[in-house]
Amino acid sequence: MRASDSNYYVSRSKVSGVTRAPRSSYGHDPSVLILTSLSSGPRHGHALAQDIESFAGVRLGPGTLYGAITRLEELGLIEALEPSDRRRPYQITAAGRDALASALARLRRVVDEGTARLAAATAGAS
Amino acid sequence: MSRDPLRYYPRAWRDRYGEEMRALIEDDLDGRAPTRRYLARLAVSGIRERVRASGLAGDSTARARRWAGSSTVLYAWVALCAAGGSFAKSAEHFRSALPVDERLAPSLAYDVVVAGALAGGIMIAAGVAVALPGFAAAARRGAAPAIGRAVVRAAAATVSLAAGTLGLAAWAHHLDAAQRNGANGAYSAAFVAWALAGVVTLALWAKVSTRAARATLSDRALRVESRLAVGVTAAAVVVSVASGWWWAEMASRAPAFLTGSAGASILDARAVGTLGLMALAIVAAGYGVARIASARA
Repeated sequence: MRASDSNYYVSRSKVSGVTRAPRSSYGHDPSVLILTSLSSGPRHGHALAQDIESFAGVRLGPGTLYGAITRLEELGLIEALEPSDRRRPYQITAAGRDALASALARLRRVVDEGTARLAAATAGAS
Repeated sequence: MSRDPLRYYPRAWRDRYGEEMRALIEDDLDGRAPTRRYLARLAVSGIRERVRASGLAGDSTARARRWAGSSTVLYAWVALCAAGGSFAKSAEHFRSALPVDERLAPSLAYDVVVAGALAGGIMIAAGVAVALPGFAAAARRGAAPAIGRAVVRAAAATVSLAAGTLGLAAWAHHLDAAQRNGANGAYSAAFVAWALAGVVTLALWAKVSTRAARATLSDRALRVESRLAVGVTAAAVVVSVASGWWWAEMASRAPAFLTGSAGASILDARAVGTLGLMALAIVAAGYGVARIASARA
């Protein structure tokens, strides 16, 4: 691991239920990132980390990634598939897709509101 | 890696996720040696997972929170029993030290302590009764948790305590009241050791109960245990408040009874120790109730 990597490792997930809003900052909640990654197909841990890094620009450390996987599996939002060469892929469940849709809708509301307010503030300043 | 980077994770977690996480770490490191920071992050994650699995903190499952909260209340009750033993020793024959017209308030306070202790004890017994069928059913299926060693330890402590009780009672029979209440140093030391043995014995049985119940309690039974734990906490508060009340009454009406001198107050060492331990027990039980309550959120 490069020393600079630690700057963009995100903190451990705090999402513990489908009804609870993501609490980590800037939409980088590991649970949302994992569900987003799995929404396009099953992946194992390393493939998940690489995919998330490619679309979100954040690298989940093993502890963070598996902490979130543990919670998501307990909540029935993802499920484990048969392992292949010690690497176990996970896939999103129907409940996981619903939870992801809810989380993204919440994020979208924040994005829309933030964008509108920023635009208004910028227009007022000019 | 010479040492297991997942050694801080709970065993059950390692059994489930360990192999695939080790594979992830190998992929992540890609042949490089892990830095200290990398290992430290894994250690922190493992400790968090361990705390979370215990149910004592973090975003544990509702079941883990209820179990941890109820167990915490049980251990808090054990601590309260230790303080209660000190209270009972302090209050021995207190009515005879009071004029008849001064007895009402201290007697009422004492009776409230006894009533609270009885209520808590009945709820603890009810909790055991609720837990037993699930454990018996698991034992019939051959799925009971391995608690043999814990039971042997608790039983040995109980036998030792019983022997100590008989010996102490026989010894006390040959002493007068003053000797039994501090004048005889050897007897006092033996009494303290006996009381500590009693607390250890209770704690060992509490450990047996919680270990036996964790894997065998149904969700419904665990909810009942949680409600009983809230009741036990309320009883602990009643016992503690009434104990403080009794001490205050005795300090003002019969100070010589508490310390043998006329200047006793509620701040006497034994009062501070006893009521302080009760306060700690209430704080611990309150935390347990908070964990139980968080399971409903």
